[in-house]
Formats: sequence, C-alpha cells, structure tokens
Amino acid sequence: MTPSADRRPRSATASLFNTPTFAVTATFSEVVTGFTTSDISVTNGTASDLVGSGTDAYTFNVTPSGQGPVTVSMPALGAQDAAGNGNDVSATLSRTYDSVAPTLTETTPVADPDP
Amino acid sequence: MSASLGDHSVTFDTLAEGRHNNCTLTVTDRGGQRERPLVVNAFDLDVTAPAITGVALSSSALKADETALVTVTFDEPVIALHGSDFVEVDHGTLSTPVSTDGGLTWIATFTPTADVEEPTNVITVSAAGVVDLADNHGTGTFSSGNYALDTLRPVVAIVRLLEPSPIRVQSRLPSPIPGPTRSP
Repeated sequence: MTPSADRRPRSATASLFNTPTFAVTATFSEVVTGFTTSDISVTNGTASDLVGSGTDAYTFNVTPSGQGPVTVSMPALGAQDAAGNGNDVSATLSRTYDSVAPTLTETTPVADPDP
Repeated sequence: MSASLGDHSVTFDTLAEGRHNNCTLTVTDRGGQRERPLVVNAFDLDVTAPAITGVALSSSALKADETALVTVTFDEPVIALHGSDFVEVDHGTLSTPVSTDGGLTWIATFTPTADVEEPTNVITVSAAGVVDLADNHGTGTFSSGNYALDTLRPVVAIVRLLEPSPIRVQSRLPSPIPGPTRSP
C-alpha cells in the first residue's frame, strides 16, 4: 500500500480575511445626524471613507493595522435622531486579518507503515 | 334676610361674596323697642366653585431621559389636588402634585414612557374632585397644550459588506505519492 493524500477540500471560517481593507455598512433604525468616522470604534485598524448623510444607511472602510483580530463597533450617543436621542451602543463586528501566506515547514518523509 | 319668633338662626340670602366685617344684628320688638346690637364675628362668604385656569408643561417636546414640570393653576386656592384628578396623562406618569403657595398652583413632574415616538399628547385635569377653602366643589376640566414625545433611541447594526464565502483549499498532490525507496 502506498501512502495517500487526503484530497478533501479544506474550509476556513468566513471571519478570516486577507484583503487590505473591507467595507462595512452601518444601518440605523431611523434617520440620524452627526455620524462621523470619529464615532466608529475600531481596534487594530482604522475607519475611513464614511459615505452617507442624513439617511439611515452609511458605508465605510476598515483598514487593519496588523495581523490578528479587528473589531468594529459604535459606542453610544455618536449619532442623534431628530429629537436629539443618541444611539444605543452597537454590537461588535469581529474579523481576523491574516495576510501571511502559509509556508511548508515539514519535509521529512514518512515511512510507509505497511511495506 | 329673614327671621321668625323662636328661631335661633338667621339666614342671609342677599349678601355679596367676600369679607364681611363689623357686622351687627339689631332686633326690634313689636313695641318698637330696639335691643342693643349684637356683634357678629367677621366672616367670608364664598359660594363660587373653584375652576382650573391653566395646565402648562415646562417643555412641549421631550426626548429620552427628560422630564417636564406640569403646573396646574386654579382661580382660587384648593385644599388638595391628587393624581386621580389628572384624568388623562398620555404616554407618561406624574409624581404627586405639590403646592407651595397655599393651593393656588400645583406642580407635578411628568416622566414620559420609554421607547415612544408620539407627536400628539395631552394632559387633562378635572376640578370635580377638588374643594376650595369654603368646601365648594370644583367644576370643569382643563387640558394642556400639545406635547411631543420621542424617547426611542436609534439603534445601529454594523455588518461587513460582501462577506466572502468560506475559503476552499484544494490539495494538489500527485497520486500515487512516491514512497521512500526500500533497499533490496
């Protein structure tokens, strides 16, 4: 018997990404004002290119600062509705940035267990 | 005013409302003999029902975490104003009304209901349950001006655009894989 390779495709989780930036949408439950990139909290990265004003849907880009987890959230009171109510804190979007290509680290032949 | 023999009370039915001072009663007998005037203590005559002249809120637009003062004004002091006298309080609650001027004006704190967006609201007070200092029951109701409520905070959902499909990695190895060569 000869050694065989496992040919099943491998899947990785969708929370991983390797592009330099990724786009994010922020959707409010009602029309708000006062929403700027300074109202976006990003760990291990920065937010930029915020588009949208006065409406309830905004988009912006997140650029990681380094390898590893990147989180995006919006703290409370960053945007206001028509009555002046600040928003509630958002849930946190978390993704892991990995742009390092895998390298082969093991080249030792394995003995045939059943010659 | 009338009186008859043997009565021990005198009924005044033509006196004006207000303070009556220095009153005396003079009795004349059938022989025309006038008795010495009897001095009557000063008294106030009040037969008018109290009425509400104003219901005002300190703010006509409230957002989350805000409250307003509600001031109820009467045309004369009343003994007590209770929460049950507020017959309509839209989308909120009131504290116990308090008066600091002897009962002419009463102030309560209005706290709006959370998570409400309603532009049309009113507070209505009934005077039927109050009495003035002479025990006259009040009449009528009075409604505040409109007030708008928005106590609903915006919420925000943050999602990544174009979430990629799971990454699929296909191994590409020759088959069969050459094994180590055995020496004869």
